[in-house]
Amino acid sequence: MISIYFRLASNAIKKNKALYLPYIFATSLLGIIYFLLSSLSTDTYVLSLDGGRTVAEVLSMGLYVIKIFASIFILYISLFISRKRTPEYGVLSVLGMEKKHLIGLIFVENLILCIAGIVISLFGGVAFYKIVQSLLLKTIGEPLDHTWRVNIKAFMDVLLIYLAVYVLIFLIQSISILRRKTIDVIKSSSKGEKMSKLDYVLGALGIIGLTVAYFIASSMPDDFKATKIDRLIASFAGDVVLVILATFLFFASGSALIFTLLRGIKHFYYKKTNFILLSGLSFRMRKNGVGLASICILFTMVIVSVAGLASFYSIVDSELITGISHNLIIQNVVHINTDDSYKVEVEIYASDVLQKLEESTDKRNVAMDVKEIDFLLYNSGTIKDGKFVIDYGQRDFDKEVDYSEALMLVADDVSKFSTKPIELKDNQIGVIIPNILVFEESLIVSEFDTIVLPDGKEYEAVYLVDEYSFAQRRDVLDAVYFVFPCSEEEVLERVRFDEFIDSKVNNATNEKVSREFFEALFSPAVPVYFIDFDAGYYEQKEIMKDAGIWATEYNDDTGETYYVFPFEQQAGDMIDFYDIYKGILFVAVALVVVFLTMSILVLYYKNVFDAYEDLKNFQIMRKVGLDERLIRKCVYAQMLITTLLPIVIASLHTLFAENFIKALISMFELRELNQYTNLTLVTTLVFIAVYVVIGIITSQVYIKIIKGKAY
Amino acid sequence: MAILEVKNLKKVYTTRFGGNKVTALSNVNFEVNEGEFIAIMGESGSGKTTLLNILAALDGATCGEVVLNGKTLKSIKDKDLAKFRREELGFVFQDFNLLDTFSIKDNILLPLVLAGSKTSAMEEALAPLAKKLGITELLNKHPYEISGGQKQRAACCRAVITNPKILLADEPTGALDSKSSDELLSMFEKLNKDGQTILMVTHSVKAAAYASRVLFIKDGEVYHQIYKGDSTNQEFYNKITDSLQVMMGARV
Repeated sequence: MISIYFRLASNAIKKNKALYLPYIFATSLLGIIYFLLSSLSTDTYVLSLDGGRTVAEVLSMGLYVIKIFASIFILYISLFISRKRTPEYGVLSVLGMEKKHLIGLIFVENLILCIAGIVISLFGGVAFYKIVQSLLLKTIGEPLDHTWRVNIKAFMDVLLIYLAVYVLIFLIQSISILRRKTIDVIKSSSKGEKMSKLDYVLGALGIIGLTVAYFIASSMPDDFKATKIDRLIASFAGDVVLVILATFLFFASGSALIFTLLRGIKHFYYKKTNFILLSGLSFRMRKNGVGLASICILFTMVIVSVAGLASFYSIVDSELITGISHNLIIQNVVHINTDDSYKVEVEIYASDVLQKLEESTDKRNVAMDVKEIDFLLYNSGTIKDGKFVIDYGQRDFDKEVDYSEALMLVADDVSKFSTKPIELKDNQIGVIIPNILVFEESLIVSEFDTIVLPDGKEYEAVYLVDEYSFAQRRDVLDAVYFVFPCSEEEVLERVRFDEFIDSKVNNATNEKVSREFFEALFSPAVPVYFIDFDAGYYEQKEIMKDAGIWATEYNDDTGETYYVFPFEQQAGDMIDFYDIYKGILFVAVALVVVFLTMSILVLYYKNVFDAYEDLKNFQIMRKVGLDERLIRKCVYAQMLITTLLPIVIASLHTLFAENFIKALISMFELRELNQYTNLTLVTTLVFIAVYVVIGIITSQVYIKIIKGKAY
Repeated sequence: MAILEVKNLKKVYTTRFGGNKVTALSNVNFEVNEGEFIAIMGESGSGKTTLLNILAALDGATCGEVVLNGKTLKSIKDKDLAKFRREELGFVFQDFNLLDTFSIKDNILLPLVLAGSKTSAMEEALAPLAKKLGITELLNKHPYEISGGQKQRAACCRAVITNPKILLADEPTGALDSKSSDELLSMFEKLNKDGQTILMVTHSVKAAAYASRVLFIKDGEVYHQIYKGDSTNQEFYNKITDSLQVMMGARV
């Protein structure tokens, strides 16, 4: 008995090889990709690489996404195929097979497909894994590992996914067999060509839904920073859901509704090409709606995420990632004891570090650029009636007044950070309000045009446009910069620094508190070095190791790497960023392959089934006087429209998503977003090209069948 | 006046590599006059469908010629064939061949649309014809919503809407129950009275009895023919049965 099932099942699969070969190939490919990524995410070589741990983490997160998509896809395609095969089961039941026999047959069929998929996935997976691993070892110059190991976790993962999906497939198919009457099984698909009232309503909903979603997207405010992030994410998520639902409705009913409405225009409809095309199209779109809608959504997701990822990468700069404007910023590390001792201890002298950095860069032949700037002192003042009065914070805290911190600098230092000379008269003070503070709205400064210093004189405030990279330091307080066109001593004189310190010392309740302590506290003339290297971040890491200012610690509990260093530097964060990016890129490439495989298969099946149904229709038309040329014209036009509609709608989706994506990217404080538009355009064009190639290849099978040569 | 002349028609099918040859028609000769209703009878494999396919210009003859309305089919260029078929011939098939993607109305209008007629002209042609054939009520339905008899009437309507010189029917009652068959054949009779020339292939004696002349085909040749003359359908039915028995007997 069992052997009969096996014979029947294997015959059925052989007979339908046009359906099952691509299916087995595609499902195995998904299995291989999954196995490969899963193996890599636990590969000892990958983990031992610089940043390998981060890449592996991103990979294992990406695996969840792939798992979900691959499962849904396998489920969808198998149910699609089994629906098409329903008449076969009908014939078998007429020949005397009972439902339990049919279910047995379905079980064996699924068993064969499942085992085939698992076996090919595993062998392919192991082979691909070996290839990728060898390439990896070759790149990092390690000797090749000649042992063949099967990653047990990956193996179990693939096995479990396959079993879970196939159990689900078997259950759904069995239930549908149990629920059907024999006669229904034989009469397969010719019902339901006419639009029902519900179809009209759903179709209209789809079109309206798309319009509303597009409207919401295009009416997003340009002023991104004004949009609150949680509101932005909520409306983006809402719009995405709306677009997905509306796309399905549009493809399944909406497009047919449009074609039906067009059929109502008699003068347009009763022209020979339109006549044949429109009737064929509304029928085709309804049959393939779900598949085409899925392709459309997949492609939209691919285009938007690839373009988003690429533009994020292209506009992302080190300053954005790290919040630091230079490769390295160092200053003396001073410990001010606020305990009983009130001692001021310098832990690290910046000049010593600088010395070591110079030695290392000389040895490595790397150019190093050092800019020194003295931050004279923090000071604060009240703003009233357009006057900024420096008062060392001696204000009445009970009264509500506008006040701000100010950092004092000299023009000579500041001009090192710009190509433009700073021209200030003796009675003027330059004012820099850092962009980053303006952008974050964290600094609210009332307008002022006069600055009153403790020397009693009034100075004119001259606003300088912030183009100075030192002003982008993220560690500073929310403060404005005052730039003086004189020497440091002169500045300290003007603000009566000595008098201020004197008063502090005199008023000190504890005699241990020294003048030095107060000077350190209010930091007069602290030199800060802004350093840039002509080297990549990985080499910078080595340089800093040489200079003894790089340390990493790995926490076994959380599995995270910490960077421990006393200075601000970009390399650590940047290396982290690149590692994450590499992982994401790997997952993205895998996902694109998965999505493309799905699209190819959906289009392939659509064309095979459409072709057999259209063939009948065209034969009839030929008998009533339709010439070959017109048939060919209609065949191509119909196929072109049904095949291209998903990518056209996907491009529209992408176009309207632009505002949202820009807004999302702008959450990362990017101000220059023009890149996204260009990259989206490029990505869209690339994917349209890829899609058209897929379309042309899969349409060959359709044309072959229609020409009567196929199979 | 002869509207269709079939002279020395021969059709030999060859397998792809030229091995076996099967002679479907060996030597067929007959004429159809304008306004005639002809039934062609013969057993399965006698070459009826081959003959019809050649008359419909769907298949070419090995030798011999078919002259329709003074034009030799062979002289018509390939690219004009579809147009010729559309304008000169109307078809009714055993399995209706209605398109599920179209409403009945659009199915009937298909030949006119292909011919590039004006929308107003189409409506004018359709309304009286639909009324005559009793399918006005069905026009907005789809093929899968109506019965076989209704489908065949619609197919018939499609076949004659272009006023073809000759209506070719291939086993039109083959898929119908007897009541629907009777209705369809009466309709053929009515169309014929109004001047429509009809050539019908059938192996139903009852269907053939509605014709004015019956041709019997055997072994690829016209073996015998009988005229209805003034006899009633019932009398003609008996005559046809007799002829068939003679034909069967001759084989034994």
